[in-house]
Amino acid sequence: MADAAALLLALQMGDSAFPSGGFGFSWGLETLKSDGLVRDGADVIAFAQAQLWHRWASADRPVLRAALAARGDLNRLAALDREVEAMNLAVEQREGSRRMGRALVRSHVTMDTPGAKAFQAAQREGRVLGHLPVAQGVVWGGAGLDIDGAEAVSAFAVAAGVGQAAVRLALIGPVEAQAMIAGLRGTIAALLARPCPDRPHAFVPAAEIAVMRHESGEARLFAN
Amino acid sequence: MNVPGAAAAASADPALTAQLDLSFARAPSGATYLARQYAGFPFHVTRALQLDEQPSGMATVVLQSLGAGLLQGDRLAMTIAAQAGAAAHVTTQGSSVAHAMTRQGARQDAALVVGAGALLEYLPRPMILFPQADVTTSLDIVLHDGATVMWCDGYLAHDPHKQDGRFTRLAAETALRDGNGVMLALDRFEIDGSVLGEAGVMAGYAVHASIGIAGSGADAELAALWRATLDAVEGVYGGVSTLPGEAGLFCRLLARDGVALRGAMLALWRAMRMKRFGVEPGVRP
Repeated sequence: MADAAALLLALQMGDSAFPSGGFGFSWGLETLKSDGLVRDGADVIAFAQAQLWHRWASADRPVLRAALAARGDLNRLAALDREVEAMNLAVEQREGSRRMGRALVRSHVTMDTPGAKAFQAAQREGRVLGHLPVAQGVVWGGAGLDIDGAEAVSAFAVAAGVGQAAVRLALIGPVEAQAMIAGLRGTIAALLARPCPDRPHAFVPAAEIAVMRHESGEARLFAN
Repeated sequence: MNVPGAAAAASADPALTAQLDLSFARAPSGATYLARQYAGFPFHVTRALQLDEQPSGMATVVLQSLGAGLLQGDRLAMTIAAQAGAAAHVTTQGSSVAHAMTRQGARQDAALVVGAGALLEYLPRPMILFPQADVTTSLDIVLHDGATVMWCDGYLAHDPHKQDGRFTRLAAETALRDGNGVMLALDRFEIDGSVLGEAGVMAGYAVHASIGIAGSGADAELAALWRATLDAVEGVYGGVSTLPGEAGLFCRLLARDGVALRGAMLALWRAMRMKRFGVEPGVRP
């Protein structure tokens, strides 16, 4: 078994009860449902697979990795943050990423996680926006997670977040969600075994369109 | 290991390094003209055509290719500038085809420079990716004060032999910067042909594109108009949002086929023209 302390730390960081602000976001799932493009559990799994392979692994992962390595280097973190901002082309996606990042940092400031307070100060001064993968790298690194642990927790949070949103949207039941997440553990393990891309890139057009349509749509259970 | 004939085959590779360099300028009369024009093979361009009632003096140039399309090893680069106050519309005669590439990929780089107060519409037809195509594209846009740029970047996969063949790789990047070089928006993706068959990615649609407009006039009113316009186009699923820093609008589009994509792109273009100039664009040949 892995080092118990490291395992317990990863469990806490990945706990869905941890106040990281993710509860209010569906990343397009709500609109895909109302547009009739996601109807059942199989569609939810396909959505989650796309989010993991074509957004998290290709875009969030390299940013998280770079942010964790750059902890304490505010200029480097700000540059990463600016790139994430430029690459999020839908308003609610950008705002969602920033809000979740800020919420995560706020919790870690309260917990006295090393580096969290300085990063929050930089946010308040406008030096960084604090997008989620950048914030994850800063505070999880500060809390003691290594890169493997941080990547696993971050990817798991995507799978669990999709599961939670799908349950709230009544697309699947809670047990079905857990079965989906169990299946996605294999997906996450497979993508973590692959090399991390040097430069972030993403390709989830259906979900991105749904986030854009959410701005003017009537479905408003989630913030995106 | 030496493979007999391999060197000869490599040297017979019809790879191209080609350059297109166009610069539009505004004459004292108000008409936009081609102040600089260089087109190396396989590029060819029409003369500057005056097809629009508004904006007054706008020049339209149709890019043509004298080649078979993108072949392995090709390195094509184009620069299109609209100098201060110029108004230009650039399109292509037809879709460019990226053929099978078994030894090396092809690359196409486009740079747009839009001077103060200028309007540049760069609306090429989508690229068609044949099985085993391996393509890297870039679109680098620099937008100066008071200028407007509208662009389109679309792709569709096609297997002429209908054997479920897929393209090998498509890496595409669109970057929008201001006149000081500050990055305003960045769209970057890298996929293989199998991704277009994933329901969670494409929602059953076959064609994907992005259409953007930045600078003067790319406001919330146009966003609402574009959303309503897309809702009226058959066979597409699209969204419109505001770029970072309110630099402009970005539309991501999925379409069932190239015809539906073309319909959506033209509808968005017409809507923009009607809002800004009050008249339909002139008829294109």
